[in-house]
Amino acid sequence: MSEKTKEINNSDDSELITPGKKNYNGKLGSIKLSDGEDEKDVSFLGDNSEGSSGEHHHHHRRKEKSDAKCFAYCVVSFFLALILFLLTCCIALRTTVFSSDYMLSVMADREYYTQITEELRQQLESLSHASGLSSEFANDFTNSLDLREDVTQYVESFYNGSSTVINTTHFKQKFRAALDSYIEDNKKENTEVKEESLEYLVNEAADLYSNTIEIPFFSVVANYVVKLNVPLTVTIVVLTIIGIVLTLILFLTNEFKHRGYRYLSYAFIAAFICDAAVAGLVYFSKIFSKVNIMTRSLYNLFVYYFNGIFTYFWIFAAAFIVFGVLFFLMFARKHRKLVKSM
Amino acid sequence: MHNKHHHHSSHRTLNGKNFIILPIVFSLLILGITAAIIIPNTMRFYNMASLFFSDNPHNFSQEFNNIYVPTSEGLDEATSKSQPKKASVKSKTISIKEIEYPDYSDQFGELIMDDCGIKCPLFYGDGDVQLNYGVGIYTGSFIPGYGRPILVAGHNATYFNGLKYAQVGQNIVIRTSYGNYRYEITDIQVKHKDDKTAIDLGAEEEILTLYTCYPFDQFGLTPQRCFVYAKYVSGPRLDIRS
Repeated sequence: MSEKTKEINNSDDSELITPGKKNYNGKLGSIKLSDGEDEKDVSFLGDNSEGSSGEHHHHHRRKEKSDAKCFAYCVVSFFLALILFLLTCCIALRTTVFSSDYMLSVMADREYYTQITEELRQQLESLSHASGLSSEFANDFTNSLDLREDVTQYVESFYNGSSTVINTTHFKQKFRAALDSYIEDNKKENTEVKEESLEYLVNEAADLYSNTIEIPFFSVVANYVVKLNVPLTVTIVVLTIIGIVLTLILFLTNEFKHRGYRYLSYAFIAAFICDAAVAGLVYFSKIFSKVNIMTRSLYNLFVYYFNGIFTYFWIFAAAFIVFGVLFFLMFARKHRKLVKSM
Repeated sequence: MHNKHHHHSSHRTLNGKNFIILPIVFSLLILGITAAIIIPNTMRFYNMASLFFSDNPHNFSQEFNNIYVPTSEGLDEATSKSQPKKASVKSKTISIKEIEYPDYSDQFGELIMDDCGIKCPLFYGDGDVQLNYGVGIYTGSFIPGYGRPILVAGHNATYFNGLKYAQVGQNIVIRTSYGNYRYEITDIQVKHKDDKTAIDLGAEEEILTLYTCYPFDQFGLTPQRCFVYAKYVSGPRLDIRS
């Protein structure tokens, strides 16, 4: 028997090795790598005389041990898949919901600032119509650059855990000055001007400005974000370590490396299916597109913000399937090499 | 006994079915476990969240839909003379299923008050967009023909500026795609915007209420509102039970 065959004989997965001796099925000897695809049977045919009962029991014990080991590796592979899926969820959350940069980039990409500027202009125009002012009056107070600066400050203050009060003093001063100027230019004999009505208008306009910058429910979400930021980072680190340990267990404790590749392939393909299933469910149900938000800017922000989170699932799914196939190919290559060498 | 030593090796072809079956089993288990953990803890949020979702995605391609197609239904009764005609003895009844019920922000008709110089688009909803383009029905009230209160808002500097000329006994005409309605002004009052007695939305009769900021032609906002009340005179009734 060659050295290689001896090596196989000595492996835990070899089912029955009785070289030179007759066994129960009449073979002189057989080598069987018994778990799944890499099964290889090398038989040495002898006479058909009966084998001893001791060898039969020994064969059974070896097979049971082999099955148990196979099952154990499958369990480890399953947990590795679970860890990979959880890592996807945590990393997707960390890079999106837990990052102010993500929200600001979605706002910039989806022309959020232009849209809220237009919406504020419409609201101020409506306010003007209720206050005896012309439509054009509203156009002077809707500068997307000012709004962008205030929105950025508002979002970042939440992620920093600092004060989120929107300062409308500058807006009020600008609005009041323009209002006084407008009344001066457009006042007719029968037009009433009451200071309390003007104050009321200025305050309403400032409220509109403030409401335009605010994002509904964001303060509630941001509160959790601030509290869970560190625990989430720790979770990602812990999951990564566990994942590496499980990978090493699969790879290093297997005598034959092709088996390590096989179990890794199982885990990565399973993680791919999980990620793709979740992302696919969100994509095909178009659930976020059906949200009842009547404001165009908030609607677009909501839809792209949440769909963006699940884009990470597609990215991870793609990475996992690449690794899954790669491990499968590595397994197939090693397996063929091993079979040829026997 | 065979003396000859045969070396027989049976190479099985590489079978990839485990690379499909096992990952599927793993993923089903993972998703099942995740769902089992998440669903019981989030059901109350799910039920609440379902209120915030509709059946179809929103379409923001235009500011509003115009579903108004003028009809001659009830047109004779809805003429806008200073002296209202007598109400028709029997108004036609239309099943509510036969009409296109407006969605929020749809322009579904027009409001005409010849005596006050008002003729403007009528929207379902009284948000900024609707009031910038016409007057709007508060969605907590009802559409014409329903037999319940109708509350219409408009700006005093634009479409409802003419309400300052409103007088008891004048006609208000509302034209929709499913019929034309006539109402007769019964009362005009100025009330505070928070006055709960200004309108009873639970009333079982079709009272049309138009309101706008008061006083008219004043710079700035005021907490007072001018309410114009009108009773139903004619127009097709909507059968909500059919």
